[in-house]
Amino acid sequence: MSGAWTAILVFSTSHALRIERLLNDGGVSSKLIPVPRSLGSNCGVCVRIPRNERAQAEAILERTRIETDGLRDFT
Amino acid sequence: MRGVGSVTRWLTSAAGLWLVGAVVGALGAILQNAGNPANMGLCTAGFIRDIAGALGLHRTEGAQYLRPELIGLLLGAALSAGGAGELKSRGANVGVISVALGSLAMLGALAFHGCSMRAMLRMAGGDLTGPVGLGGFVAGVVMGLCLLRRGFSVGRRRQGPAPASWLVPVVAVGLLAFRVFGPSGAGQQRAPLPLSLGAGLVIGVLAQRSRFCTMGAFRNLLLMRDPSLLAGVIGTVVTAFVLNVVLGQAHLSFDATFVDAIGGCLGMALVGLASTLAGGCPTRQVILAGEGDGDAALFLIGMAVTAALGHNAAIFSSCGERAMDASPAALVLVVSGLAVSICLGLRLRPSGQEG
Repeated sequence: MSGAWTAILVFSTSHALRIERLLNDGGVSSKLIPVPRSLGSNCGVCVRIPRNERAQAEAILERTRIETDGLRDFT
Repeated sequence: MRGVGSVTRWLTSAAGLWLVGAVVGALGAILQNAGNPANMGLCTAGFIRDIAGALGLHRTEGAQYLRPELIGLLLGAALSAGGAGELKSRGANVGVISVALGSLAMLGALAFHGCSMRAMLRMAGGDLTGPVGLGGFVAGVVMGLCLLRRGFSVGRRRQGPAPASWLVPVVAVGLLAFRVFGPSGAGQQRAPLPLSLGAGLVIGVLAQRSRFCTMGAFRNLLLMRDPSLLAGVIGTVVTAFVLNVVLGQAHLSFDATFVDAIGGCLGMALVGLASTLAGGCPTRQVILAGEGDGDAALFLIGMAVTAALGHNAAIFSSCGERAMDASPAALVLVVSGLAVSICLGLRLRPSGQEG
């Protein structure tokens, strides 16, 4: 799958599940994916959103005060 | 470096992981042919149990050998991670939880006489206890996913001091020196040292690059509908099966009673559950420990200690005549282990981060 995406890196799978639910409820199309290899060796989970919805996602994350391990753009 | 990056990306694709699985399966069959125990060409739990015996932590005959494969896995992962700038000390600093999860995983593995790697290799050798174990393992992963959905987390993982990332590779070199200059392991079922060590190194590098993980394979499929890691599992089983047939090592069998099968299945469910909560199967924990992950190193220590205690207390037999056997005491321990894992899964949530 190609496109411009942003990965929301998290500290645990349960965080990823919660963030995915909150973002989807807030109108950001989010999906759980394995952490892209280019973003680390971790075999865990992150949340993928379209890059053009990043600002909206950041606003939701700030409002809900969910801590993340950073947002990283990838293709 | 760009070339290395593209190879790494390919190794994490379904095709790349299939190839990694094929190498794992082929080496598993070859190691068995070269002298390792039947269907235990590669078994992380079995190797840790044997290493615990070799270091004098238990006295079970036939299970006291410093398996070079595991040392190779650690060193291969460390070399691969070091070359890619991924050798970093990290962890959630909840040591007792990591030790407990490793301990619970080994408890289950002792009942099945192996971990998920061995379940795959048994299946590839025609041993029908393999699918029984793998079924239990998947059930454990499903239980773990339910707990993750309820909010289980060991908390935020932080980067540690750089020198800490070298501790596990240094210990691995020390173990290798002990293997080379110490007792030869005569009388133990074993493949020659260069082959064992070489196989471990190759798999360590490939698994570090590709993130090969049997728990991750089922977790990613069930949680994200992502089948990439599962391609590695399929590649392992198919290739090992083909080689086992070629080498005359495939024999259709089911050498266990109904009660043994229940014990083995529950044991593997415990392995799957503990692995899901810890974020990786026992083999993946070895790779992560080689990369500098402190939680994974503690998970392995928990496995080794429990293997020693289980054998010293004579609750679990060594890999003997039967593929798996479950005494009443072993069954009670495994069921208790499942209960403890579920309690941990329900209670452990980071404060202040969950709403």
